[in-house]
Amino acid sequence: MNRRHFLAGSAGALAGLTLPAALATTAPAAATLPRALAGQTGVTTLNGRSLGYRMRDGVKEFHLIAEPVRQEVAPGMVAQFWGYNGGSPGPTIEAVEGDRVRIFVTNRLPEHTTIHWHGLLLPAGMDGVGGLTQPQIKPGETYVYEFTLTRAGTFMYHPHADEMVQMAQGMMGMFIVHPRQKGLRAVDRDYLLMLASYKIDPGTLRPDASEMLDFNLWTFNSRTFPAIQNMVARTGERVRIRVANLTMTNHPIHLHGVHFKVTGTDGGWIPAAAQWPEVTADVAVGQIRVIEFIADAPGDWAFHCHKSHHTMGPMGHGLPNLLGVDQRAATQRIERLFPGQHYMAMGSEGMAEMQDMAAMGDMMPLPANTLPMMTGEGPFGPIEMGGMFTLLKVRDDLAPGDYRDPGWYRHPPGTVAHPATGNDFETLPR
Amino acid sequence: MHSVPHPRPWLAVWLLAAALTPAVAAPTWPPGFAGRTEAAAPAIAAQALTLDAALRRGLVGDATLYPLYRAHDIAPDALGDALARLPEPLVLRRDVLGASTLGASAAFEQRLIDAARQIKLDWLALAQAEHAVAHRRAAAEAGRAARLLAEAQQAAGNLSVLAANATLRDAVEAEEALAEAEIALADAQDALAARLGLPLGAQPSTSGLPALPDRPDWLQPGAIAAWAETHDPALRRAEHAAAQAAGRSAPVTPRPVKLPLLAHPLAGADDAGRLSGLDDDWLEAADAAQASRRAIAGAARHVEQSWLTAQRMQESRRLAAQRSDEALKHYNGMLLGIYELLDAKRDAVQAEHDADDALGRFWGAAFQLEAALGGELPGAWPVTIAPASPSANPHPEHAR
Repeated sequence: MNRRHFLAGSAGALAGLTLPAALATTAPAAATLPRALAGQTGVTTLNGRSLGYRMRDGVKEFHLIAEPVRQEVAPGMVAQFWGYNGGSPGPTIEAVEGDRVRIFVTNRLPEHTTIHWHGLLLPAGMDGVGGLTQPQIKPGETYVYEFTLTRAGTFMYHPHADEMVQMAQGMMGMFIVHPRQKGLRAVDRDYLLMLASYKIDPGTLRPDASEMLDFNLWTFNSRTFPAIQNMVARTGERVRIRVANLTMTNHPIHLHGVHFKVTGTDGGWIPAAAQWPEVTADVAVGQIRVIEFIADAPGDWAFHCHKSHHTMGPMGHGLPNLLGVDQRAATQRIERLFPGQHYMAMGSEGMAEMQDMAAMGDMMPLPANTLPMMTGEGPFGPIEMGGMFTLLKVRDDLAPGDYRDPGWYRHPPGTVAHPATGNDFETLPR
Repeated sequence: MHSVPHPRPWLAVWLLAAALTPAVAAPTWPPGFAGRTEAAAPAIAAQALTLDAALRRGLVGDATLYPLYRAHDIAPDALGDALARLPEPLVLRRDVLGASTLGASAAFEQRLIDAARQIKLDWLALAQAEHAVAHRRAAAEAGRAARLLAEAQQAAGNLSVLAANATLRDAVEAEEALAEAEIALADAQDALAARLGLPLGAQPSTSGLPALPDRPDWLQPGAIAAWAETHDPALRRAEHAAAQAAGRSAPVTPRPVKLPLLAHPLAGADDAGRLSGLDDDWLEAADAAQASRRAIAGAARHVEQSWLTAQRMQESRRLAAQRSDEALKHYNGMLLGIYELLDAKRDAVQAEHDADDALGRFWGAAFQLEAALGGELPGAWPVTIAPASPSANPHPEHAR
């Protein structure tokens, strides 16, 4: 018996089950509203926030605190990260071209750290490379970085001290410098997300820093679908999405429903003449790609990494290939080996049955503190996704500045794929 | 020196048995073997024998005991009736031989103690063999499942001959291990059947290995040795014999010796090293007493060590089962492949086998100690909180 057949035969038993709320919808917590700076639309950090500041003697002062952070990756899984100011990634720093910034960095980690301001042009002594441009910031110490933001753009911050470990633990954040000129490169909505990957074995909490490539959590802002906040836009609005990559591999980021252009990198803005239409932008390791488009088609549009393993939850690598394999004879014997437990063959017809894990958790439990391989319920059924996947929801009736989740898209009549009627199609050329 | 009670009938139950033997039917050899004792054999062979049931049956069915019974005019049927009147669990020293028997029937008692030990060891060997077959059967089942999967994968074009090879070979080896275990089971059945006087071809079975008891206070060699000094009739008998011999040799006035082994009560402070005054009976009796102490100390040590080993193996079994359970959860989430799941199950089965093997060695050591102590342990085995395995149902005799 496979899972689908089991469920079909157990409809009565399952009818009383209630899906966990987090799995019944893809809508996570409400967004933190962006704030405008110098007349520019402030950024929306998915599942995150921007860092507050104070003005002192004409200098914008920020305070980053490097510290351990316990944070939910998605319902059912919590991770013990290292981050900044209570989150991984840390809060987004927003400032304006020409600003003088002073950033205090307090180290509450068990080992030293620094912060490198990735992509920002600044004095060498402020570049944050431990041992090379500054002493390491020891536990308990607070250092101050101060420099002038000479160019607008999209940047990152991350440690440059025991970098392999500290980045693997989730220490990263984004640094946005808005143009000083009002209206320049203006958009209606400005989203940002950091791509991060982790190896957190099922049943554990802490990312494994020794892992080089074989990660099992592919995240936007250290969250996986369906816990990643949706992006919303009013039809016709200009939307910007800034995507930074601090994983160990490239990510072809694909957006359905629009043609976009890559308008910027962490090296600056791309002249309009050098931009071309795309639906997928590859973001390499240590890179940022800024995409912009007009949200001209209402609907719920998928936004995801196009490496299909990256839109899955944790799964074993190197599993036996059982597709097309008749497991019935073996299953009869295996069931006898697990009396009182539920064993079911899987993989013979594909892996979509893994979506059913949400409904079968009591009978076929997963290890503690891990996520199903695929999950998410949409208006038409299981979405069968995980990892680096979220939605762009475009609506005609969304008010400017409204970031609330509008719910599922209501398709106009006759615009949804449906089962074919008749068999006339069988005479079509093949 | 222990006081020596007056010799008396060495076996209360023997008297009972003799009384129950019909007066009109003078014991003839073998009186019971052709009677109910034999007739009951098929029914006995058909049930899962507890250790207690095996002991009761063995005492009346073990043909090697019949010469003794004949010499003492005991009819097995009558003995069986007498034993049936005794409550469970049957304790050889207390219930059958009588706690204070000494002296005249020593050879008979020892013979019976040895027989009881052998009955228990044969029963234990069968229980272990049954467990071994169950474990090997589960391992073979896992091997067959893996083989079927591998073959199905090959049929689907998903697995190469090279990649499938190890799985197929493991399955063959698991089948061979099962075949060996089944042969060992048949041998153990034959041995117990013979011991219980069951007909050829009988296939007795057991109620399973008793669980590992909690550790009692008396389970330490020093405590056991101290108990034996005052309670073990065999030791007391040896001491008694030594005292009697010393009494006979008293006029010779043996001189002191250096060896504590020969710490003779009449030894003085002079003439160290002289043995001429000691008679052979005394030397032999004293040596027997010391040998008995050594045997008790060794048996006690083995019981203590095997209890610790069994306890560690129980923990290993628990951890292996936990691994199997967790592996199934990982499999559910496609975090682990089916072959790895089967490997974890095989590992758990092997851990069960090892734990039961250790458990059997513990009970074997306990039976040896019991025999070394003359048929009774210093105390009861505490009630075990958790059974050692699903098939191991603690019997009342291990919780008395």
